[in-house]
Formats: sequence, C-alpha cells, structure tokens
Amino acid sequence: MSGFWSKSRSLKQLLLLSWIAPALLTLVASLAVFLFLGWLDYQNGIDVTSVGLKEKSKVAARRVSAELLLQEHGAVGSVLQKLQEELDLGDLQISGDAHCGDAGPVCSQVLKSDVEVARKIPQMSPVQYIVLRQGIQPFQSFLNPKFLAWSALPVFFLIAVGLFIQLVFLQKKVINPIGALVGAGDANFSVRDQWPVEVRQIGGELKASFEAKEQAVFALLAKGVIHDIKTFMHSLLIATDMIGESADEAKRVRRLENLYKASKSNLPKIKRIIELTLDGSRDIPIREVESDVLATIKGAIAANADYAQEKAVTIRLEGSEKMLVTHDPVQLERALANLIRNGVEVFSDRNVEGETKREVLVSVSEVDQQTVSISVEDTGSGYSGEAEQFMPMKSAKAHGAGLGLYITNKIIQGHRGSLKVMRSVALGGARFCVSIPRGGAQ
Amino acid sequence: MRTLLAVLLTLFSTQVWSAPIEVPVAFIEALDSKDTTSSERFRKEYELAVKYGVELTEKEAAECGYRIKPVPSFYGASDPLQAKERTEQSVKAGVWFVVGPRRSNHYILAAKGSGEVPTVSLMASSDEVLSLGPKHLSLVAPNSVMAQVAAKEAAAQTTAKTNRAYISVVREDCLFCKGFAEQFDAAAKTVGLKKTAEVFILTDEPDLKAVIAAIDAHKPSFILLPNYSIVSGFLIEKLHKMYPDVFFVGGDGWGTNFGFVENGRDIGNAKGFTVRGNPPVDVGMKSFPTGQKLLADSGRIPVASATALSLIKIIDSTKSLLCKYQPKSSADFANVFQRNGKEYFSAPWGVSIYQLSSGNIEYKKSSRAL
Repeated sequence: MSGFWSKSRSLKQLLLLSWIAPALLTLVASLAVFLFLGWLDYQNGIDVTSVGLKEKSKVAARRVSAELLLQEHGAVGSVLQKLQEELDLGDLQISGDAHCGDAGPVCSQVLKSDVEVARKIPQMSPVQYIVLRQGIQPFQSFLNPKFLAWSALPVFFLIAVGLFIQLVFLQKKVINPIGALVGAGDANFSVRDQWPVEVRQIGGELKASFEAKEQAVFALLAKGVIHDIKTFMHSLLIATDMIGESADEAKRVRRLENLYKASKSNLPKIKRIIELTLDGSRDIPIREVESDVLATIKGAIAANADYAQEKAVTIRLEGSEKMLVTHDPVQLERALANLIRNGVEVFSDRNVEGETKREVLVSVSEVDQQTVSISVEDTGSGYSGEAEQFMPMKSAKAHGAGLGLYITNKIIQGHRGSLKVMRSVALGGARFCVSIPRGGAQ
Repeated sequence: MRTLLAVLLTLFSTQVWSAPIEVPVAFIEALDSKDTTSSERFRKEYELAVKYGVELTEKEAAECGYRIKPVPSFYGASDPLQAKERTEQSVKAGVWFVVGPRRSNHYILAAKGSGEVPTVSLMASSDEVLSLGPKHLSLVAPNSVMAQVAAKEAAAQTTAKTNRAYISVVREDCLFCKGFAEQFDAAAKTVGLKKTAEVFILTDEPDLKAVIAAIDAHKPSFILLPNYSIVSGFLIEKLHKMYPDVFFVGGDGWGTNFGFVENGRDIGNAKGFTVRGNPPVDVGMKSFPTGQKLLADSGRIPVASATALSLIKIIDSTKSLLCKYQPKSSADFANVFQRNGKEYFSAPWGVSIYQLSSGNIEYKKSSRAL
C-alpha cells in the first residue's frame, strides 16, 4: 500500500486519484440515498396497505356482524370466504382477541411480510374481532433501478466536469508557469501577477537562486581575473625593480624601455580586465537606436583586425545590405567583437601541421520580420555538444576567465536576445548565434 | 240535565278539542340513492306510496284522534347491519311502529334492533320471521306456506298425469332457492308427489347435460325451478324446446313478465306456474278500503309496484288498528299489535298463484279470498 502512494505519478494521474475518493463517496452516498428512498417508499406502501386494510375491515366487520346476528349456521363461513375474495384479502378470520392488543375499535401491526388489522365486530357481546391480513410487496420491489441511474448520473457528470475544469486550470495556472520557470536559464525572467501565489513565490526564489548563482559564477570568474591581473602586475614589478638595480645608464635606459614596453602591453590588458569585471558585476545599460546593424558588425570586425592579422586569421563578412535594427551599437559591437576575438583566439599562435585554413565567418540574416540573426563561426576545433543556450562557465576558450562571453551574453540579453553555441556545419568549428528582436528590447 | 251537559262537554273536549295523537311510524328500507340509479327510482316510488297512504288515511285517522307521521330512513343495501342500527335510532327517537325492510335478512336484523316496538316487513318471506314472535310480522306468507301452496297446486295441476314424480333444478349459491326447494320437498311428500332427482347449477346459463340426463331417466311430470328470473327464463326456454310437454313450477323468484322479456327469452307456450306473496297491484288495491279509494280517486294505479301496494296496505291497516283499539301510547300500541296485529298485517293476501301461459305470467288466484 505504501508503494502505491510513493510511486512517482504524473500530475494528471494524481488529480484523477484525488477525484476517485469523492467519486466513491458520492457513489456510496447515492446508494444510501437510493436505499433510503426505497425504504421510505416501502414504509409508505405499508401505510397505504394498512389504511386500505382498515377500510376493508370496516366493511367486513359490519357484514360479519349482520351474519352473526342472523345466526345462520354455516353462513358465516361462506360469507367470510366471499368477503375474502371480494376484498382481495390474504386471510380473514374471526377471533376473540385483537392480535395487535390495542383497546380501540381497530388496530394494525406489521408482520414479516403482511399487514394485519383487527377490528371489533359491532353489535357483538362478548366482543369479537375480525382479523384481516394482506401481504405487502417485498422491500426490493420498491427499489427502482431507474432512480439509481438518475441519482448517480448527474453526480458523475458533475465530477467529470469538475475534473476537466481542474485539469485545465492546473495546466494554465501551474504547469505552464512551472514550465516557463524551468525554461529560464538565468535570473532574466519575470514573475507574472496572474500566476498563483505559490508559483510566484517559487519564481521569486528561483530568481534569487539564479542571481546568487550568477554572483557565485561572477565570484569565481573574479578569482580568475585577480589571478590574471596579478600575473600582469608581476611582470611590471620585475621590470620596475630591474631599473632600480641597474647602475649603468645605458642598462637603465634599456630597462626603462623594457618597462615601457611591458606597461604598454600589460596596462591595457589590466584595464580591459578591470572594465570587464566591473561590467560583469553591474547591469550594462542598453541605449537602443534604430541603426544599421551591418555597420555595427563591421565595427566589431575592425576592432579585431590587428589581432586577426597577428594570428593569420581571415575574418569574412557575409551580408552587404543595410539592415535597420533597433539596438545599442556600442554595446552590441562590444559583444560581437568579443565573439570574433574568441573565434580568432581559438587558433594557436603558430600554424599546426595539417591545419587547413584559419577563418572566422560573420554572417547576418533575417530569421523573420521580427528577428535578426548574427552568426560568428570559425574553422577551429569545433564544439562537441548539441546546440544550446549559452551558459556561463561553459566557454571553450583556451585561456582567460570566460568573462568576455559572460559580458557578451549580458549585452545580448539586454537586447532581449539569445546567444546559442553549436557546431558550425559550414566551417567545422564552433558557431555562436546571436538572435535579437528587430524592434528592440522595448 | 247537568249530568248530560257534563258528559257532552267531556266528550266534546276529548274528541274535538284534544289534538290528534301523533303516531310516528319509521319506514326503513335499503334504498340509498347512492346505490344505483334504479334505487333512486324505487325510492321515489316508495316515498310517493307512503305519501299517498298517509294522505288517503289522514282524515279517518284524524277523526279517530290520530295523525300518522312517517319517519323515513334509507340505507345502503350492501350494509345490512344498518337495518338494525337505523331501527335502533328510530326507536330511540320514539317511533311507535317500524315498517320494513323488504329483504328477509334485513328485516330480521331490524327486528333485533326494535326492542319492544312492533315491526312489519313489506315482503320478507323467510321462515325465520315466524320465530321472531307476534310483534314481528310480514305482509307476505313465509316460504314454507308458499311451498305448501305450490306443492298442492302442482299436485292439482298435474293430477291427470300418472307419473307423480318431479325433479328439481336449483342454483347452488342461492340460499333462498335452496330453502324453497327443501320446503317444497317436505310439502310435496304430504300431497303424494315424489322427487326423483335433484340437479344443482352454478351459473345463469348452465350446462344442461345433467338436467337432460335426469329428464330422460326419470320422465318427471314437472320440473321444480325455485330460482330467480334470469336463470329460470333460460332453463324454461331451453328445456321447453327439447321437452314441449314438461311442466315448470317456480318459487317466489320468477318475478314478472319483465324479468323474462328483458332477457329476450322465447318461452313459447311453455306450461307452468309460480307462487308469490302478493297479488297483482290492482287486485290487491281492491281488497282494502284505502286501495279502493286510491283507485277511485286516480282512475288508474299511480304507483304500480308490489312495494307500493304493501306500503299503502300497511298504512291502511295501521289506521284501522289505531281507530279500533285507541292506544294512547307506544306501549299501548305495542300491546294492541301483539294481540291483534296478525289480523291486519300477516299475509293478508295469502299466497297468489301465477300461471305461465303463452309466454306470460298471469295471475290465477290467491289462497285467501280477496
């Protein structure tokens, strides 16, 4: 029995089970009502028989009285028989006492399957009674099956309707919202007012949980960031220390030049890391304007041109027509630039034997009238998983904290868009697919 | 002179100045109009006959110092106990005399409820009436007397025949029929008649096999049919066709031609006779003064039934009894009735014989001179 209750069941099965108990109770109640009504009918039948028998006893008593007064020997017997037939009685006899023991002129009692009435015969001294008996129909004859059907049918119909309504309500108010909550990958979802209180509470807790998780992720990323900054700062410290140690002017100049080079190389990186970290910890404001998204893409490509040249990677753009999309050009360029940079960074610093070509392809297309898709794919080692929504900490970058993709995703989500990662069918590497609404986040 | 004046004054004051003594007479009969529509008709005729009887005797009764006051009480025929209860109520109300009911068993019950008040039935013919005593009489002769008359008449009418045997065909569920048959059998023996077979039947149109077998076996000189008109008419019609010479004898149940004609019986020229307690109405009316007066006043018989004849006769006899014996109270009347009632109320017409001839039942004679 405990196994029955502990077994995992669908919500619909549970609802059905929850209705079975009231259905069974209703059936029992209907049966009880049906039997009760039958019993009432039976009692009424007995009363009707009793009343009818009392009327018949009146006639019989007077007829028998007349015969007894006439003292016709043998006539009383034949009169009784004639009366029995005439009045359709089960039994009729004369007795010296009333079987029901009442002192009144007439009394009745209900026997096993008969009603018996005894009435004083008028004009008789000593008192004599005429006793009549008539059978009553058995209880079960008063149980009309039609009544059972009529009493149970509307109840079962109500139960079925109630069950249907409950299922529809639960689908709309519980299952669908839970589905929406489950589908949310992060805290960027809204809890609707029309959801039930409990579901809204769950949504609020889930949102808080996602935010805490994001904070945890960010903390983890921040740890990596600090490590990176420490690395860059260490080389600067060494270069600075070496200047202080050198007594030779020529050596000092050379060491100052080294410090300059190290600073020029590392300080922008430190600055970038700090900026990214700051962006990761706060909301990125999105200022949307309707402008040509192709121009934004070209800006992102240009930002990575030098880096791509260093790595001998070709960045190719597919799409030449102007496409007006409501977006934040600065932030979206930043996000796309990061994706392109990641695509370039996938390749190693020197050519690997057997490597075909190093290419990053950026393409833009209309998914439909409301949505624009921007795709950044490379010829790198590829993405082994199924196409999925980007999640923090799932970056396939060779080095770095993955903070860039985190910021990129935040910017895209700020545009009410989505970022998916999948394998590039055309180039064989990874493919990042950005979808944003053409009309903007508003 | 003074004495003469005093006597005249006394006579004058008692005879003229004293109001007539009211004699309440209960008329009790099973004629509740709720029974059937025919009961409504018979009841109206009954009430009319009483009215005629009282009106026709009023003057004479008043001259005698009496006023007969009818107190009718009708009840349902299906509840014979009411005959006793109504009589008890009437007696309690102070009637001097109770008339009715017609049916023997009803009348016996009424007599049992009358106490000391005398009663007379219009036509109760059961022999049990004889055992009620001199205060309880019937205008109709008892069955035993009718059976004796019938037996004598049967002997007389079948004298020419050498075979003195007869068979009886009796409806088994008719107590009156069986009673008359028994009485006839007893009387028949005294006049040399012999019953050779008895067949009992149960329906109005019975199977005749047993009857035919009895007739073939015994060749009776007559067949006793002491049954009511419906079954008697059927038997006569069927048997006469098969046995044209057979003679039929009936009790007081054949009724009138009405009973035979109503059922469309073709009895042809079947021979026989029946006995009854009353003569035809016109014959009966002529036998007593009030009846004669009614015929003289109306020129015809306004109420043509035997019941009406009996009612008017009883009222006439009551007036005669009152005028002759001058009772002053109900007790007086009861005593007078006990001593002299038979003369006035007991079978005044004797037993009447009605001949079956050419399909009709015709009055032949009465056993008492009328």
